[in-house]
Amino acid sequence: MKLRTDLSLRRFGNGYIIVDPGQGQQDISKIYTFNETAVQVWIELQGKEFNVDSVLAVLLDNYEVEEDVAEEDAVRLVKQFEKQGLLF
Amino acid sequence: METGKEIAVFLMLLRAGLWRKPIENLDYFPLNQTTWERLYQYGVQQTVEGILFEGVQQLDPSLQPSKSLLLKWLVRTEKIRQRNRWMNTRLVEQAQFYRNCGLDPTLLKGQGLAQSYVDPTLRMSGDIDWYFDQPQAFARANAEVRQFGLPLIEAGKISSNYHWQGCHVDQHAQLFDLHNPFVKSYLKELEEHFDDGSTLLIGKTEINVLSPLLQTIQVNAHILKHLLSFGIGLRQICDAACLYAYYSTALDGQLLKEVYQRLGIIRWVAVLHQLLVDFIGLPEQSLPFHLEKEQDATWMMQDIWTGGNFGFYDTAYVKSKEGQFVGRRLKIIRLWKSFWRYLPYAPLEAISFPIVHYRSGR
Repeated sequence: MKLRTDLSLRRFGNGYIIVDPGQGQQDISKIYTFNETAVQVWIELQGKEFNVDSVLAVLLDNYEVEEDVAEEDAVRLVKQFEKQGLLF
Repeated sequence: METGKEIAVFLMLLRAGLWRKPIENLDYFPLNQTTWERLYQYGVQQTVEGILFEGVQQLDPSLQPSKSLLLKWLVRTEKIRQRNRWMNTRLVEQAQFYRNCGLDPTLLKGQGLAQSYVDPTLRMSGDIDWYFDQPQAFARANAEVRQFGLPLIEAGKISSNYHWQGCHVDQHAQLFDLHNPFVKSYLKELEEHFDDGSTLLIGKTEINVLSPLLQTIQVNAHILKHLLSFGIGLRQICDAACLYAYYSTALDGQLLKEVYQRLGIIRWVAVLHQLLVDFIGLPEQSLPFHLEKEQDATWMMQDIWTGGNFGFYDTAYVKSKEGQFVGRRLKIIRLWKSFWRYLPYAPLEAISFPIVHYRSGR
C-alpha cells in the first residue's frame, strides 16, 4: 500500500492537517487532523510502498515505546489511513 | 472602506507569502476577528488569497486568525493548488491536441507565469491563453477546434475562445496588448528577433513559452491595457514582480529599457517598477534597470487596489441592487478617468486605446 500523493500535510496552528479538497463544482472538503505520531509516519512513508511492519519501524525509530504497544499503534494507524481513504 | 492599517497589514502579509520571508513588523498584531475577515475578503477580491495565506502561515499561531477562518482559508488555498494541478492536466491535453493537428502554439500568461513564483501552486489560475504567430495557424486552430466539435466564439480576427473540459481557452493571433499603431511594426520585429523562447515542462510534455524579454513586455503591456480600461488586481502585479525576480539575470536591462522607450511607455514602467519595489517587495536589484529617480507610485497602487479583479470590485463604478452584483457600471466615466490618469505616463497608448476599442465596437 502507498499513501496518496495528491494530499499534503499542511500546518494548521500548532499542528498539522490534511485537506482533501473534493472534486467537481461542489464545495465539499474533508479535513483530517493528525497527531504527532501520524505526522511522523506520513512524512517518512510518503512515496514508499509500505505495510504494518514499515509503520512499526518508524514508531520504534522515533519514539521510546514497547514493541507490542508500537505494533498495536501501527495496526490502528494503518486501519485509520485505510478507513479515511488516505491510501492508494 | 478599508483603513490604512488594513492595507498596510495586507501588503505585509502578501510580501511575506510571495517571497517566503518573515513578517516585517509584528507591531500590528494581534488583529481582531473583523479585521482578519476583511483581509481574507480583500485577498479573494484581489485573487491572491493563496499567497496571502502563505504570509499568514509565517505568523506565530498565537497571532493567526481564529481556527474557523484559518480552516476556511486553508481549504480555499488547497483548492487553488488542486485547480493548478487540474489546469496543468488540461494544458497537457491542449498541447497534444494542437500537435496532433500540426500546430505548435505558445502559451501566454497563466501557468507559464506561475513557474516564476516561489510556490507556483499558490498562484490563482484563470484560463489558458495560446498564441499563434501566423494568421494561417490561427485560422487553422479555429477550424480544428470547430471540427473537434467544440463551439468557438470569434472576437474579430485576432482572438477566439472556447471551452475545453470546463476550462476557458483563448486563442490569440496578436501577441501584445498595445494599441499604439505607430509601434505595431516594431513589435513584430521584436517578436521575430527574440523568438528564442523556452519551454515549460509539465510531466513529460514540453509547452512553448515566450523568451524572457517578450514575456516581460507581454505581461506589462497586459497590465497597462487593463489599467486603461476597467482596472486590474494584485495578482497580475505579483506576476510582474515574480517575473522580474525570476529573470533578473536573464534580461538585458538596457535593451528592455530601450524597448519601453520606443514603445512610449517608459514613464509608466518607471512608476510600475517603483510600485513593485515599494509595495510588492521586489528587491530593487531585481529590476532590469536602475530606478533613475524616486517615483510616487501610491496613486497607481490606489487605482489597482480599488480595481480589484479586473475592476469588478471597484465600488465607485459598481452598484449593487438588492444584494445582487450587476457588473461594471458607468464604464464611460471609468474609462475617461483612466485616460486622464495614465495619459502623462503612456500618452500614445492612452490615446490609442479608446480609439481602437471604439472602432472595434467593444
